[in-house]
Amino acid sequence: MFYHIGRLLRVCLLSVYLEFIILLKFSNLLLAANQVDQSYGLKQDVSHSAILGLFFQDNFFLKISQETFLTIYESLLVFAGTVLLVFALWLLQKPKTRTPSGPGFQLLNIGEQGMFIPLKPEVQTLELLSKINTGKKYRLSANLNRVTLTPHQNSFLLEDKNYKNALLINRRRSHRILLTNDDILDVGEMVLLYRNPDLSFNNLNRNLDGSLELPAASAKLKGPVQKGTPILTFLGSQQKIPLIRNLNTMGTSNSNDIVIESNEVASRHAKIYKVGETWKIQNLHIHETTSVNGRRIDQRFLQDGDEVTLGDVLIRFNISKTKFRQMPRQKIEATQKTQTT
Amino acid sequence: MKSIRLLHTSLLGLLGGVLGWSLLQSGFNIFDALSTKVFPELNSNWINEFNYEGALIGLGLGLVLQARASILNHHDLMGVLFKMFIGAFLGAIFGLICFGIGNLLIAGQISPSIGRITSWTLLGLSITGTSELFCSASGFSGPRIISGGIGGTIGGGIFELLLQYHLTGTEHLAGLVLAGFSIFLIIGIAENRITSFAIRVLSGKQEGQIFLLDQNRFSLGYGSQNNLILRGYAEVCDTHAHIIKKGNQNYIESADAGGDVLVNYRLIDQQSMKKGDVIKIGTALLQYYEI
Repeated sequence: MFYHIGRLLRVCLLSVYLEFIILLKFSNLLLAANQVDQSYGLKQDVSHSAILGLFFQDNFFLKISQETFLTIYESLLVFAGTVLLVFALWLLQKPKTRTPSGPGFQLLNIGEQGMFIPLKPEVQTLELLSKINTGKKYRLSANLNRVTLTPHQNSFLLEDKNYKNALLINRRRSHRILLTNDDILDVGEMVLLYRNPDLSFNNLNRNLDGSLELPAASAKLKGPVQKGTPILTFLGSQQKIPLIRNLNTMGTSNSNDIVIESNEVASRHAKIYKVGETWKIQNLHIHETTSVNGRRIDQRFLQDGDEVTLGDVLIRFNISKTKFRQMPRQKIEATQKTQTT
Repeated sequence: MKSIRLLHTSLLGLLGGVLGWSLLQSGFNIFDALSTKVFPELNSNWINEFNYEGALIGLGLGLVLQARASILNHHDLMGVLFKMFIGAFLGAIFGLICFGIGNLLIAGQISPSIGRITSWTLLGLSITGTSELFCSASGFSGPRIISGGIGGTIGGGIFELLLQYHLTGTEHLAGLVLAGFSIFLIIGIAENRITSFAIRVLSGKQEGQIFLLDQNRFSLGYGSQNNLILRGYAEVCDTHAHIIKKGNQNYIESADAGGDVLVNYRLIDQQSMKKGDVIKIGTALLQYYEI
């Protein structure tokens, strides 16, 4: 806004200056004419009107007659109408987006006008892609029935059991991933965008009445999270939990700093703690597994972007680069209250 | 997509003509009212109402041209209004100057029709030039300005032809509208010829918006000086990235050290783009494609 005003002012100044110069030039001419008049007395030959008549002749430009066709109110009405039409064009130019409920794939190929393929919450294969009607026929690999989608933590676990399917997930070769919002899948010639409008960042922040089941809960934060704080992102639900303490335990028990709801997580499963400027994760339960980037570990230093698995819960470890606000915990507290009463 | 855009542009040209015409009427009315009631000396030879018809036509055309650029780049309503105001202001000034030059030429014993066509051409050149002036990042694209000039010449020619056969309609309405239409049509055709790539937003608040890469430099970011404004996304810088056209290739480069630009989920500083590439800027997901 201020940028626009500044620019506008600069432009105004420039144009006023320009006009000033033009006017100055003309007035110089007039003054010169005056002087000529006074000193030589050539009033009949060179007069003001003669010079002005030279520049602004009576045979006016577009020859619009003195009596105008529209009255002033009518013309202002036409003006307002045209400005309204511009506004209507602005409205028309706005993209119309339908927000489908529930997860699904959006076809990103050019020419497909945002086609949405809804996914049912059941185990299914990517074979369903060959059944949809597209404007153009896309080549798909024959073994798509070996790629399964399993519902998992509010999302889908995509598993490619046939390595000959050249499946790219976020433009990388991958065989197993928990789909998160805005993941891009390249299947043969098709480009698909996984979306789950219920779990988009905005919706997650707005949807605090507990209608969404979130996998974890932690202490409530006061104020925004500072830059440099590590953040655990639960894949699937996209829930973000910042680590504000130097030692954080994770597990299903309520005594943990981060309470995770899952059948395959132990009551005290793992801890993440600060060592100098770095962070380390340690497995606490001998019968349960904790893995980092697919390898089972006992303890290990964490790096930005590492993927941690506790039982069946996938978590991404990130160091925050900007401030952000955490979502207060709601759902789990509510369910616990109902359980205790 | 292209044809829709052309239709859009030429429709706006018609609007520009109508706007100029209505402004002309109201301007004359206001002038009459002022000169008869308030300032009787106003209607002297020096300030003649007919000197301002150029300014009023320029105002209408400039307003619509700036509004068009703003609308096509999906600016918000405030931005569109600002651009319209700037366009109207500059259009009025340039209209005054261009038609003044035309008048001077006619005064210099040049046939009136050539003078008029010259002033239309100059008007076309200057209003397209001003719209270029406000694309801060674009490297002054010559073809577009020239197309404005050609449009102006054709528009002036049509106007003269209509004038010859007394077909310009009530108060030259048809003539003005057709002249505005031809300026905008030629600009639209020239733009369609030089643009073959576009970017669309895949996620978030601005989902579905399509931006044609019709400039040599195209900037993306949060600030309102950018061509592609990404509002409502986390981790987007003021000016986050530039898309630069070099020959047939489009390159994307990171503009700010703090902001990461990912092409196909790989961090880059500068890279040429292929169609279908997915660009990630902050949390915004964009796709680059050919049209």
